[in-house]
Amino acid sequence: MSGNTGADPSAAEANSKWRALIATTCGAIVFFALLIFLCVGARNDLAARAEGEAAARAALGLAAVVQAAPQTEPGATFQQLTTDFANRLELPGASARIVDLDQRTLLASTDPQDGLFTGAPRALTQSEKPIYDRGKSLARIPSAAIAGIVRTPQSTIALATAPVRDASGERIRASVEVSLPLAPRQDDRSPWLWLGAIALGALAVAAGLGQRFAPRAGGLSLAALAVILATTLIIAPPALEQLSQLDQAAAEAQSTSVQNAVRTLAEQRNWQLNAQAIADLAPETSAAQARTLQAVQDLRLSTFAAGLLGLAVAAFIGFGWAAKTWRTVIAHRTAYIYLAPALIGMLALSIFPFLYGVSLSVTDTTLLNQDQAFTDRFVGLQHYATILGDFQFTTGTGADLTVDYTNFYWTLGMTIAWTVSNVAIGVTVGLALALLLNTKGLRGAGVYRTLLILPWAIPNYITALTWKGIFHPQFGAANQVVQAFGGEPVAWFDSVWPSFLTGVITNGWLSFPFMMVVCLGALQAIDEDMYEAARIDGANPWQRFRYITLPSLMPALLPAIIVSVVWTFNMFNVIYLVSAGQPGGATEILITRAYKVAFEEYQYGYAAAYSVVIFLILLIYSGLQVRLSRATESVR
Amino acid sequence: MTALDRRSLVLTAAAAGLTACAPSPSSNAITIWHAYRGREASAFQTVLDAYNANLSKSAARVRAVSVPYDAMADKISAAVPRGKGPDIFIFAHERLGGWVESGRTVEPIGFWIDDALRAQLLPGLLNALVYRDEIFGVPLNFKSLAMITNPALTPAPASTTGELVRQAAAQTDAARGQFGLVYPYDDFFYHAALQNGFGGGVFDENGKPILDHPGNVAAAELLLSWRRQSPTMPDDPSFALVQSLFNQGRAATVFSGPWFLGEVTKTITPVVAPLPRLDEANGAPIRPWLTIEAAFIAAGGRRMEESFAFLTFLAGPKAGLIMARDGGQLHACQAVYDMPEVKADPVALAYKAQLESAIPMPNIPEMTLIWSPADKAMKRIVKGEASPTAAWRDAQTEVAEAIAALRGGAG
Repeated sequence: MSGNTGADPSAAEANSKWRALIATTCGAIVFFALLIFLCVGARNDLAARAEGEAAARAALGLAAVVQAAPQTEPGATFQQLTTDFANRLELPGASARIVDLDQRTLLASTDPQDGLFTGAPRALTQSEKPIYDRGKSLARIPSAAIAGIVRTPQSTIALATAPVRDASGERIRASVEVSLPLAPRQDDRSPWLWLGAIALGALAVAAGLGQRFAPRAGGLSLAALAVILATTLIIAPPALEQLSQLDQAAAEAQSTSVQNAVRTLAEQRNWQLNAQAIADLAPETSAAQARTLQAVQDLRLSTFAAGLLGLAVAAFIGFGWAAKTWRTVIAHRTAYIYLAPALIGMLALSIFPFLYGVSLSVTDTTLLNQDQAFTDRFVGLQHYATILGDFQFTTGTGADLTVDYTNFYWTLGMTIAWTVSNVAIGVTVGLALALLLNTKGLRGAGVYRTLLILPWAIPNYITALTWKGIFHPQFGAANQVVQAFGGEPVAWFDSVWPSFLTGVITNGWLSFPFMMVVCLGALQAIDEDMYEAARIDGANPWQRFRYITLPSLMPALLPAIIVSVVWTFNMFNVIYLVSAGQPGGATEILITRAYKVAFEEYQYGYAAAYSVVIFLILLIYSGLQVRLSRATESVR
Repeated sequence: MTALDRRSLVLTAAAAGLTACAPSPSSNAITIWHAYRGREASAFQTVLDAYNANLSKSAARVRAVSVPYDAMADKISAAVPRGKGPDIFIFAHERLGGWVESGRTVEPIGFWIDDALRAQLLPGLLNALVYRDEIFGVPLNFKSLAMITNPALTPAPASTTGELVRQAAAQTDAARGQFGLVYPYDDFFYHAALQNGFGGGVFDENGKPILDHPGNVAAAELLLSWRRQSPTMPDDPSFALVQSLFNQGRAATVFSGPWFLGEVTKTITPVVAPLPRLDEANGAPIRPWLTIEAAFIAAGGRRMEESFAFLTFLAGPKAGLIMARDGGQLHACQAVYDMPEVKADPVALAYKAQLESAIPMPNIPEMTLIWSPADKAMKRIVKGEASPTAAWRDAQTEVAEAIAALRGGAG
């Protein structure tokens, strides 16, 4: 545990105490910094929502009155109405405006930003385009009004926009906006004081214990920190809940005042209010409670994550890993500097995208919800369960009963069949050609070799498209050959196995040169004396191949097969370009299926999970393969 | 290695890192992304030069950046919401809904569009750029299928499907590999024209999929009857095959868009006419998809007003004439078709006539989910694996599930 081997025991023990103290402190600092950040954020979010809702209710209230007003009323009426309404709201500093969206004019405004408003409608200016856009965007907003917090250098306001519909109730003809200046955030610090006191107490206890029994600094600091974390986890979220209940009470009071203002203003003018519009002004208690509950749950989860991070920091220091890392870095600093560019490149280009993919796979991200918060998209391992738990192998009923080609296990089976047959063909053809080319005294061996490597040198998508043309049912070369020998033309892409065969032939063509080159190199390295000795012992050609050539090829061939399996498993181009998964996605392999989910169905989260599954399969395969090749090594 | 060497190594690495992260020198120009190539690109440059030449000294110049078409939509989706995109981009209208719904990509421009601009555009085009009651782009040009014939084989283009089938049967010579009617009929983009003609389609007015609509079944039955009558249509008709048959003088009539004409061999002067009327649907016209290329203003841009001024120029008659005459585009500006250079072009007038029966491809995000199931249904129908009713019913189920998955995530 201790990094100081060789020092005397008492010094090591003293060292250990200090380490426990430092570890606990660092862990606690990390945890509390994160916690305060998260709690303040959660609290501010809830408060902002409450303020946005207050503005939205006021806007909806004014919109209800405007909707009740006859459209023939002169502009001055609306200006008076807006002023009265703003005065009656028990919200200091609130201002309102009415915008005619059809005419693009400002009907009424009490907002000082709109200049000295005379009461006659005026055209919106260029800088007021956002007001118009907000009004128009109401048509695609599912909720009754849009509300948000707008921060400008001068002030922060809650701004809400509500629609005024025409007589049919379908089209939005005008919009009403209410803005509320927000008081600077009052950070209620008392919970943090509490938590800070607990932290200090726990630190003192940890330090005290560290003085007495500190054989194992890491374990001790972890235990101390765990106590702090558990306490906090119990205290922090309910505190948030209490605060937001206060917001709730304020919202109800404010809602009543808006309702009263709306009723009074309409009665004064003898306008008929829409009863539903008034009912909509009541605060949605259940929605607000659900939101608070959600915020508390989110906070609990993120507090827990912060706690784990704190524990990790404590463990890193407490168990001496930090010290060890530091010493290693210092000792080999030149090596690390040289490695840094490659490491940074790997981090940015491989590891970060990979981790991003993994994090995407636990969300239900689609084209449409990409900018929602991670917690809103989080679905855990649901996609993995859907993919791996898909045991519905057929689709349709009765006469229409067919195999469900989008089933994961069908695609997996297809991928394995694809990989095995391709690698088998590649190795067999490659080895056979290598043996032929290795014939002694073969004339023009160089020319043959060059020609045979050509398929490999041509970009594989060009080859793939060429083969697709060859397999055209009416004009393709393949069927013309078939017909030349008196056969019936084959509809290559209409049934599963001919379609599969087109892919295998194309990929076989693409993959044998690699195997041939590998085998040829290895063949030329085999000692001629061994064959000589075998011949003297009376071995026939098969025996010489079986007992000399093949074992000598293995060290070169095995790694080639390993990489070839991985390449073929993910050979996107050939499948996508030649058979395109026809018929009906039957000859799709996992990687092309993942592509379709991501870029044709736009379910990014699901596609990411699919990709992670592919990665895991290949990981397991490589693990097995490494063991296997170790085994062969030990045999030799 | 000395300490000095080591320090300089670290400094160099740090400097390299900083240079990579530094923002590109802030240019004062309005950037516009487009995917034009060849004569369209050079015509577009002419338009830009004409516009920039008339700007006042202090005004921002417009600068074009060419982006490969295949990569453009994804580039826009990735770059614009993060403030890394252009000020303006030119793209087909069908991605609009997805961009609006994913947010912070396209700026609504209804505020700036006045009656003068509306009146100047060909009717119906602006509607394709409306998403949920808001206008998001200015239409620049349009593309749709029409009927393209080889005058050596077809003296007079058919005006009804009955006439077309009779002509095609007479023109087909299977031994020579000559066909009366050739188009990628198993590709849903092409087949949709028949469906729309029969009153079917892909979505109802509420955006719900209607792939199992009776009109779609009737359209598939008609296609099958064309296939059965005589081999007037070749098997597996890919775009490349259609092109090569036409260029070899072995295709009498082709359904295709203006993109087809660019590849036609010099020895054939194709004749373009509107698609025929359907005898099988009481003389209703075949209604191909209409794709509208539009200019969009990137959300959150710095110079939106100046950008919009450029958009109105692009949609106007001056730019329209250059793009039509030099770029070969079917421009969105009405006045262009009255100018002598364009009025003398029978191809442009034929596609403009086709515009009357063409319908804009839906711009809702669900449209992207239609292609794969619909193409699959077409292949099954053409190959006789499933009856039209069964194939479209299965496609309907598949699309409904995909929409639920997409919307469920958003909900």
